[in-house]
Amino acid sequence: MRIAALPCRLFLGGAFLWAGVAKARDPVAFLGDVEAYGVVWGWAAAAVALYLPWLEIIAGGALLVRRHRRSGLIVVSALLGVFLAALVQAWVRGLDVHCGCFGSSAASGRYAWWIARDLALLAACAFSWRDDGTDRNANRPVRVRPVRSIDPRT
Amino acid sequence: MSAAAKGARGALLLAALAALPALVSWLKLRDDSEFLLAVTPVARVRAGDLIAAGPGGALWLDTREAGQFAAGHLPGAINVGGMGADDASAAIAAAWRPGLRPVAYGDPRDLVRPRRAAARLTRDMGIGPVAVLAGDWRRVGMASPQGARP
Repeated sequence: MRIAALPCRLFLGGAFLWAGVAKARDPVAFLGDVEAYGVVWGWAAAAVALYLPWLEIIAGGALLVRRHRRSGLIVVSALLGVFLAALVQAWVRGLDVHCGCFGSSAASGRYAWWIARDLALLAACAFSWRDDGTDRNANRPVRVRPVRSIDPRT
Repeated sequence: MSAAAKGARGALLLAALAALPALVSWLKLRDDSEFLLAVTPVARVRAGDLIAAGPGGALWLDTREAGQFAAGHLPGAINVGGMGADDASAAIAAAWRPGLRPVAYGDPRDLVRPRRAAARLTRDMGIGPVAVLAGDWRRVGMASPQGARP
């Protein structure tokens, strides 16, 4: 189980890096995707469209570095929670949205698949929180100080 | 400090760090015409308010494709989404008279297209601010005396 946490974290990091880069390459198209969810408009939507891809890139990068993995996991989990809430409200309102998750996509309205994917990634976050065996101290051999014998015959 | 507390502090740092490249992106885009169109404020009007104002108070601008327009639209609406920019400008100029309130509407599931069209027409047409209809246009059709027509 501990060994599996490392590939899980690396997969999450890679996925968020990819998603962030895809969005950052065309922020105007992503702005349209953000507005389609009907939560923020105008400058607020623009702020989200400009900031979110970079947050994904930085959080994804942090997940790949052992020292910053927990910070990255907190950001990525929070983002996935926000994405989940946005998807559910758009589904309930019957909006025709493109996910926008990995840049521009022609597919729209595939809510069940997108929500299942978000939940799977959230589960991967929870799984990656545990020690994945890359802690230096965990692998360091334990030094045993020699002690005097307490054998009464010596 | 616990691992969770350290993680939370690091998360805040990551969030702050992401603002820097976002700022650079904004500096690059601040003169982009499509970006400026997207952030243009567009007023939203309710169908009830327009109906209360009386018939003939609105110049309806349908932003859907020609096929959807043909299947049903508001009385007197101009299908700006189904024609080229020049044709749309000519049709609006022919239908326009002072006192009319231009209101764009579209597929109620698509919130972006009417909004973009309204911002574009406000910028290009010189007929004052074009508003966007809040909610489903078919409710206006049902409430108006003529109803939606094919």
